[in-house]
Formats: sequence, C-alpha cells, structure tokens
Amino acid sequence: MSTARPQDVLFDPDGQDWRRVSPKLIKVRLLLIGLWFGLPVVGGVVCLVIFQQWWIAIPTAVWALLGLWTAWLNDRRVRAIGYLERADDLLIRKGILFRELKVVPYGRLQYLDVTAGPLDRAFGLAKLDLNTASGSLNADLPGLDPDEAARLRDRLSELGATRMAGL
Amino acid sequence: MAGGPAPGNADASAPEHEQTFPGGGTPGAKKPSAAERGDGQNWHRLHPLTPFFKGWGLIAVALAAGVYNADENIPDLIRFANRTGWHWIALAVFALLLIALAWAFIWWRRAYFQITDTSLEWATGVVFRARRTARLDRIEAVDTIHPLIPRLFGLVKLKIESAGGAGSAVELAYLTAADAAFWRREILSRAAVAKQGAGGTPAPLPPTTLPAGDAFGGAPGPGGPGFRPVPPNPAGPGGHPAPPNSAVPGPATPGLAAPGLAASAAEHVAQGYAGAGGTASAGASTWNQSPVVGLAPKSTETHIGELLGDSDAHVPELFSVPTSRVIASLALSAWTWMFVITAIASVIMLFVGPRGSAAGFLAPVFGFGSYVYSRLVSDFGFSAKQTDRGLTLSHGLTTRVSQTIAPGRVLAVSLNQGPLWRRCDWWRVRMTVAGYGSQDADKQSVLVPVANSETARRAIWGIAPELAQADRWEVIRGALTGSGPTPGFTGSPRRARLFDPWIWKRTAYAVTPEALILRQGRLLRRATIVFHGRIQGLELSQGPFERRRDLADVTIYLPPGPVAAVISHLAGADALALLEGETARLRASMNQVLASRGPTTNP
Repeated sequence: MSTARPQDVLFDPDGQDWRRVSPKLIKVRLLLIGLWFGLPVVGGVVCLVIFQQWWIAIPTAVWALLGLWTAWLNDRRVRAIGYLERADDLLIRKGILFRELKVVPYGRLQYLDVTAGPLDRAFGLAKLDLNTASGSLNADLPGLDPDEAARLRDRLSELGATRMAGL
Repeated sequence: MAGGPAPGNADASAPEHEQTFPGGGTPGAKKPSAAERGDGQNWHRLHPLTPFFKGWGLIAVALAAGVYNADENIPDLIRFANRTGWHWIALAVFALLLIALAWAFIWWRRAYFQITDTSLEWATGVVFRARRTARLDRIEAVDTIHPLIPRLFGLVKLKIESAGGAGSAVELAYLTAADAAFWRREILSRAAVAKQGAGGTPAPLPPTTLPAGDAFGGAPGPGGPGFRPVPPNPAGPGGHPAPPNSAVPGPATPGLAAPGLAASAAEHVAQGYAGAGGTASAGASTWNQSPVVGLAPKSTETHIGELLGDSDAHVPELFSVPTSRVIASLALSAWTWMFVITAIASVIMLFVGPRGSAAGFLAPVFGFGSYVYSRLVSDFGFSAKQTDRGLTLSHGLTTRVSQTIAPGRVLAVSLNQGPLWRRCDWWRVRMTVAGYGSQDADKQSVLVPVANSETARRAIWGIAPELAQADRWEVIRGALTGSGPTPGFTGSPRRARLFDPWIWKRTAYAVTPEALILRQGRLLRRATIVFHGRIQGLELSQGPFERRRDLADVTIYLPPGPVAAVISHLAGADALALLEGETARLRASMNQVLASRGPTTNP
C-alpha cells in the first residue's frame, strides 16, 4: 500500500515506512456508516411509502448519496491513516481530501488512553488517545490491534516519562 | 481571627500575627519558623466572615426572587401575614436567620487548611466533605486577589496556581490582608524549599529553583533555566559567558543566584542594548535602577526573602498604564463603538420604532456594555515591576489583582492592534501563562492592556529579556508593522491571494533562537510569539483546494490560553519546513532541559 505520488511527499516528510492501522477498521467503519446512513434512509423510504409525500424523497436521496459517497471513500480513508514512531516524536497522518499530519513529541505526552467500544471489541480493535497539555490537540489512533495499542501505550508512556521536560 | 486553632491544636501560630502585623506588609519575623511549627496537625481557619461572602450569591438570588414581581408578591405576603398573624412570620424569618447563621458557623468551623513540608492541604464542606492536597513543589505562583466587597472589610483571597492545567488552582478565601501576606510568604518559601529538595542533590544545581521554575525548567525560550532578568550590567560579577542552558555548578542556595546564568542573561541584554543605540540605551539605563543587581552568593534565608519580594516596595516600576490611556484605548475600540451604536439605535427605536422593538437591542447593548465595563475595570491602574520572583503585575478597579509571572512561565505572547489603534501605535499584549486555565484568560492573561511599542518592548523584556535585544526586537517590530516580502520572514506566496485576497501579504513567519514569530492580520494586526520549547504539538493540514495551489496550514498547539498560533496558506514546502524546523527546535530545547537535569532525576 505504499503510494508515493508527488503530492504525498508533503505529508511524508521522512519518506519512511509508515505503519498502517488494521484493515479491520474498514469493516467497523462501514458498519457504522451503514447504521448512520442506512437506518434514516430506510426510515425515509418507509415514510415515503406510507405518506405518499414526494418531498420526503429529497432528504432521503441526499442522505443516501452522502452515505454512498462516504462508504466509497471509507476504504481509502482508513488506509490513509498512518503513524510513524520517530526518535523523539510520533507522527500521525490522516485524511485524503483534507489531509493532516500531527507531530506529538513524546516528552509532551501527559496521559494515554486505550479505549475500545463494543463494536471495536467485537472486531478486536482498540483506539489510542494521546493527550498533551494542549486541550485542542486531538491526536488519536483508531483501529489498532489491541496488542499493538498496548505496545504503543507502554512504549510511549515509557518514552514520555524519560523525555518529560516540563510543560 | 482568621485562623483560630482547630480543636486539639492549641498553639497554632496564625492567630497572633493578625494583630502583630496590621497592614500586612512586614516580614514574618515573629512567626514561628517552619521547624517550630512542625508538619503534623496545625490546621488553620479562614476568616469567620467567609461564609457570608461566599453565600452572597445565594442571598442575592433570594432577594432578586422576592423583588421580581414585587407588585404581586408583597400584597400577597401582607394578605398571608394578616391571615396567619405577623408573629409567626417574624418567628419564621428569625428561625431562617438562625439556621443560616448556624450553617455559616458550622461551615466555617469545618473549613480549614494546613501547610506541611511537602503539601498544602485543605478541607471544606459540611455534608459533602472535600479534602484536597496540592504538592508544594508543583506550585507556580500565589496571587493575591481583592474582590470589591470583601475588600471593604479588609479581606483578600489567595489564589494558588499549580502546574497541571485548568482546575488546578486552589483558592484560600477569605483571609485578612495580614494573614494573606503571611500565608503567601509561607507557601512560597516552603514551595521554594520543596522544589530545592525535589531537585536532588546540591551538586549540579538544577537550573530551576524559582518557585515557579520546576515544570519549566529550561527551554532556551523565555528565560531558560534559572535565568533571572537582570538589568543590563556589563560589569556584573562573574561574567564568564555560560551558555544559558548549561547546568552551572552553583552554590547550594536556592538557585536563583547561579552566578554564571544570571551574568550571562545580563550580558545578553547588555549586548542587545549596546547595539540598539540611543533610545534603547536610554531605556536600558532607566531599567538599570532596578535593585536586582546583587549577585553575590547569599544565605538561604536571604534568598527566601528575595523570592518573596520583601524588597518590592523600592523596586521601581517597569511600566504602568495611565488611566487616561486605558480610557482612550477603550474609546477607540470596536466594542465601545458597537455599544454606542446599539445604545443609540435602541433609543431611536424606543421613540420611533414599532412597540417593543427597542427591547431587541437590549441584549447587544448589555453585552457590549458589560464587556467594555469589564475591560475598564480590569485594566484600570495597570502597573508592573520587575522583582526577583519575576514580573509582578497589579491591576483592577473593583477587584484588585496582583500576579507574579515567574521567569519561564509565559509560553506564548500575542500583540493585537485594531484599526483605530494604529495611529497611536497601541498594542494589546496578552500571554498564555502556564497554570492559568482558559477561564482566567481574559482578565489574568493581559501583560499590558494598551502599550505603545516601546512599552511593549519593556513588558516583553520583563518576561523574556532575550527578545528585547535589538536584533530580536527588530524581527518583532517587523511582525507588528511589516508587510510583503521582508528579509527574515517567510511569507505566504502570491498564489495564496485566492484564499486570502486581503491579508496574504501580511501572513508570514520568522524564527529567532528563542521563539517563532508570526505576522498576521491586516485590519486587525497581530503578532504572535511562541517560545520553541513550549510547543505541545504541531499539525500540518491541507484541504483539496489548497493542494491544487500547493498551499498548506500549520497549527502550533499550546496549552490553553489567549494565544493561538495557526498560520494559513503557506507554500507547501515552507509549511513543511516550519513544521520540521519547529519540531527540531522543540526537540533541541527539550534535550537541553533533560541534559541539564542530569541522568537520574525523573519526576
């Protein structure tokens, strides 16, 4: 999956091997998309049949299209999530249309959370949340294997403890 | 008395000193020393009037509820009273008062605090008890706050800021002024001792012994470790140029006096001003009067005294903002104009508009008005002194606040200017301070409410002397007023004008050894200074349209506060260079802190 198109260079400063999150996240996200978009669309269709009001078709169609688009992007979006453990910081890359690259220095980590919702657990996934003193930096890594999440958590908190240099 | 001994601890020391030191100014010479007091069970109480000031809101709400619809409530009450008999009403009121008094008394009896050698502990609450502990070595600062009504009774509040972000502040309220002065001294000196202890063995002195220094040990930024702002004094003792971040083996006193560091800071500043020529050296010579020059090694006692600012009274002001300028600056602010316009509009609507239309203007009139009022009240009488503990700010009309910003506590600074301030060269200087949560941001994060660039330079000198050096200040000046391509600045490319047709020429960044400097905004000019070593994280981002033009945004994450550092629509390569450069500079500064701390210590 190592795509190296020219415009990716900006978000791949080291040209190194980024680690991907588990492909199982694709399924989990697809399921969630199904729930968020599928259920309202089904509801809309039912209403359309019952009430015979043509305007109900508009939001239903819009919602259905949005859902399809999101589902179509889902695969690439999950594959775009990557992380790279460097000597002093963790890089997290996300997004295809709106790209972002976050740099979280180990010495700035205040605490780490590993969370797993019911759906995550069913698929054997976990999410790692990285927290610094800046409340607005939302650095998280979804779709990790629980072992990998635990490894990262332990490694990062160890690195964080040795590199903690005040605020 | 404020701190009557809790049951079973008869000889608490606090009780006498209120009488001993009326006015609260004198040092605690008659206080028992830390050793005499021991660290066990010396609980102290707040002032007995505390529950009334704390419960003031409740009383006000009750009164307001009674006054609201008074035209109905009062006749109702009279009718009710006539029916049931007045003596019952009087009895009920009396009983309520008694209950309130009893509650206040119990609350007061059960709220107390103590200081041990390692922590500040306090316990409050009657039904739900809360008992908390703040570690002394984490304490950043102790601010004295004088709210209006308690102030009339000579009572003040102590706000103790510790490292650890929002919600970590502790308030000891209310105390008499003398008590507050005593406890402030006590907390700060014990914090200094605790930090010294936490710093490890006396061998290589950790460069972090200011009361607030611990967590900020030492990026090269605003006063690297243990730097203390020393006025230019080229002939200072021990002037061997120690690099600002090296661990200088110093005397085993609280480390303020690490001579090499202080002297090197002095040197930096001196160099800066030597280069600055006429006006600046004149400025330097006035600052020179600050009696912070004595660098000879001192005993621990003297040092604690210095930490506490016993000598504040004779320290000359670094700067102050005249009331006339505060008022003029508010008159020239958009908020005041909005207030006046909406107020006039509401009056016009009252006379000529349809019935009830004036009411629609009430909310904005009230909103703008209260903002302008709060600005006036909190910016009033703003003055700053450079003391041994750092920069001491005091300000406020109804609520008088004095805060001390220890070196290294300022993480970022922003200078803002609205269009009407431009002719006067006025800037509002705000700062993100470690330990202050975002809820304090508006009132307690102002470095200067309105300053011309010379005053702004003094203020910045107060928190980070290096940045006031001629060459650094040149860059900051460029960020304040410059536009278009400027040497030293990396700007937004011309292709960004599609996104920012108006401001793209101003958007630029520059890097000094201490800080990243952003130049932004055309109508609302803004210069942002972010110390490299204080960055919490970085982000590079790019939307689909930006990608077509090879542009990207960089966000620098900082702890919560008034300063935000986001720079948009840089050329892709420049954005990446900024991201990588800042990451590297942050790493370098953190490594320096770690190296100076030595291999063993690990908080």
